[in-house]
Amino acid sequence: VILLHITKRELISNLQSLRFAFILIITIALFTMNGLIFSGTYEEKLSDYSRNAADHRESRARDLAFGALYADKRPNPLSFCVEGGESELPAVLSIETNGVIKPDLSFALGERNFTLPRFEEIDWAFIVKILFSLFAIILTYDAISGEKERGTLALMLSNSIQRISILGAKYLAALITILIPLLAGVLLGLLLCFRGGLVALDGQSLGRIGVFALMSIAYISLMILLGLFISSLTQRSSISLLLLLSIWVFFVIVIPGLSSVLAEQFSRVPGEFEFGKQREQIMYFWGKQELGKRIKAKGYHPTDQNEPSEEMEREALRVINEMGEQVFRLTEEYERSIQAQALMAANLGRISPSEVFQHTGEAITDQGLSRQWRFRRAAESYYREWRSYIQEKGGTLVKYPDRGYSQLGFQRIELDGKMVNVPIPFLLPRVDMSDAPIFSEPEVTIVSGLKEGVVDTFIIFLWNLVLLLMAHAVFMKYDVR
Amino acid sequence: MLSSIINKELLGHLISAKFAILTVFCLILVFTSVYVSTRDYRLRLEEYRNSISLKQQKARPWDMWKAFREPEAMSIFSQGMDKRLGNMVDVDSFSLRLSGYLGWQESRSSHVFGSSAMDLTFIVRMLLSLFAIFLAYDVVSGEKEAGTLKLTLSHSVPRNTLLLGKFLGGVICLLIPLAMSFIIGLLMVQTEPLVSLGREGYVRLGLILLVSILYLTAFFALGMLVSCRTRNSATTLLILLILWICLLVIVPNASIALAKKLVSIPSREEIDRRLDADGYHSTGDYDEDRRRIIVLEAELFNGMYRQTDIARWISRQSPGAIYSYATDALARTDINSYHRFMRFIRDYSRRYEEFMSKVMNGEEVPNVEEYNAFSATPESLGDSLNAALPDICLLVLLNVLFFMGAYLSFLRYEV
Repeated sequence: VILLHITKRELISNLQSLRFAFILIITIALFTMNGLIFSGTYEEKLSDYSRNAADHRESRARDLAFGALYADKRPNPLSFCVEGGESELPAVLSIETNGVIKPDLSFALGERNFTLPRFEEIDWAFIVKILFSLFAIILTYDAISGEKERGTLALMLSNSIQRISILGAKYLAALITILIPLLAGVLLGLLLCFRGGLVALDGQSLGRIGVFALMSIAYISLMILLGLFISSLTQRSSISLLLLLSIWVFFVIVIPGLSSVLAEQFSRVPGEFEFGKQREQIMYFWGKQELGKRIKAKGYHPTDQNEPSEEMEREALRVINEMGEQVFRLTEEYERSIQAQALMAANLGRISPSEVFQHTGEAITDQGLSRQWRFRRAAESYYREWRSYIQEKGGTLVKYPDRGYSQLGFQRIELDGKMVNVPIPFLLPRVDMSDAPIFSEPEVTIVSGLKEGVVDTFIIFLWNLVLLLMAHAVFMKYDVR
Repeated sequence: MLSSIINKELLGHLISAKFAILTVFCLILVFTSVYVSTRDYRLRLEEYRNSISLKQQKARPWDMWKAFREPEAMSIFSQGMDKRLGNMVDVDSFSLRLSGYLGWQESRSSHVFGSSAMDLTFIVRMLLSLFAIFLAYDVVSGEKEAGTLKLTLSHSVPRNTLLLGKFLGGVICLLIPLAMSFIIGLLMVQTEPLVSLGREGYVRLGLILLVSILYLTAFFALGMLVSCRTRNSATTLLILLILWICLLVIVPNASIALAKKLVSIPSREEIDRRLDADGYHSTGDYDEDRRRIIVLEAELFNGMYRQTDIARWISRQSPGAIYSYATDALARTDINSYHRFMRFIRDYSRRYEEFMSKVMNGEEVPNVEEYNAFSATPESLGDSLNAALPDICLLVLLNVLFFMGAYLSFLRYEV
């Protein structure tokens, strides 16, 4: 009862304060802007996507004959909530006949005006992660130290009020105060997204947004507890504000910046240049030297006037396949090292609760790196589908090391000082391929998103618990004089 | 008198905990940022040199009419558009020209980490501006609270001297982390053997430092202005934080959204439709097709440039945007350098057409290598300075405005 009483008092004084008005105005401005920006870009992305996907579906057999299949990533309607680098991560992957999967950047979705200046992307995750954490600090920095400065803390404690209920009341009041602009913003944002039916959100998406809102509350609660902890650690409110802002800068700017550098130190990626060199080496060794040696061993001589024998063609095919396989393995290894590095950077970043929150947000809304890798895996299984499909039709998928090989139809090599064209066989069946597999991404349910984010969610709750205990312990021993 | 006030202010800032904490943060970040961007630049440079040498060796015949863009060394400090624009233009395939002129070839790892550039100017723009606010918020209202303001003014200290002393003391204090950041950045780049800034690079870096000083003094003066208009320092800090968010986060984003609403550019669908309807495939006349594509292309690109221009003008409400435009111009990574590069590309594509018509007419083209060699001379220092000048003037203007505002408010400040 006493808890409720103090909460009410705190809440009223919070709501009447200047900072609450500021927070409300800024929140509304931000969510409005978010809605205006993202409802347009999603539509743009979706129309680009459907065009690309339809084109690729139609011409898939011809594309394969030219050396590559395409997989299109569906733009996420929840990108206004968690952008998760969607516009930076490749939306189209090309799958070559040897299984190499690489981003095809000529099909970028959405924003076409690349000359526009770029600033920070304002999605909901940004608003909560960066700004609401700041708001939580602004609301709580003087909760204890400020009252002490004013002398009201000693007065309050002279009554028969337990310290814990004061702390609890301050916590609840701050949480409620901050939830008001958050909810207002979320509702406004949803309204703007629904406006004119631009973005159709189904029950599944609304559920995701709901879970995201819950996680946001947990994250904000963490920052409030941090504020209370630091406030009860210090004697003056200006010191506690500065300490809190420093911690905020550390969590929000320093750690995310540092984690990728540290990851680069611990987990090396060869670098694109080096990778390219290794690839060229493979191509040179197999495509020029080994190919020549092998067909010579089969009795072919450049002075021969006769047509290349079938045996020689088979030998050339073997070499091409081997070369394609080698390039595939090299690319896989390279890709894996990039993934390992990104994973390490993400894990190092988890020191900061803001990054943990970002990861949960990405898991819940099916965005970010894990989404990208799922997309990649879908492309891999699409490739396997094609392989078995071609086999069924009685053809073979030649593992060309590069798209250019399938288009050229021959490989030019030097044999005994003479240039020779070795034909590269083309072994797609000449049948109707209208029933060939079509790329599709597996539907991901909200449950699997929750499963993916369970560790991060746990970390956020752990932070809450630890900070609660620490705030409690410190406030119990707080010198009110 | 003035120097003793400056002295006092400076010492007061220097021994404070906030100064130590923020300086350490700033230096950690600068180290990180310069490390990452130097490495990134080096990779791009290697790739560029490799592509050039492959083109010269004619190892890849399809590279013949490709123009490669050399990455800008100053992008280590102010990345601007340098990385986003890619590094290769293919002039011989004319359907490609419409899909944005570049064969995007960013380094692949950037797709994993996202390409938000945390370069040196980002740190100045976001973190050191916050630092300036922290130093400035309590210079007047804080002293009023502590009661020392009354005490000081009871002596024969003129108010304007006091304010100027506070301003200079704070600014000198801000210069310390700023100068340290630039020195660290410079030293780290020096140790990298592949990267050379050249003599002009040092001048450019010096100018960027100068612009950074102007930017931070503007923020400090803004802090003093708000401090002179409020009674207690907590309110001052609050208002300043809100202004900081509005100026650095909200205004720039809003201006882009607004510019997109004001100027629309044809969508991909529309371009496709017009290409089909206008006879990209139907007329069969090569020159006619080409002319139509060029018209469409011009329309698209002019729309884009107009949109960008408007976005840039609106976003100049924000000192952060002004600052990035000035530093990007000085680093040769801004839109002007892009336009300059595109002029070279247009010349190059004209040369390609000339070449093709000669080949079609069966003429002999003597030395093809010389014909299709591409080179773009980068912008001179004078031109860069010219491009940056309006924004530098705006920063000076902001400084004057904020300081005058602070001065006028302080004269009437109730102590």
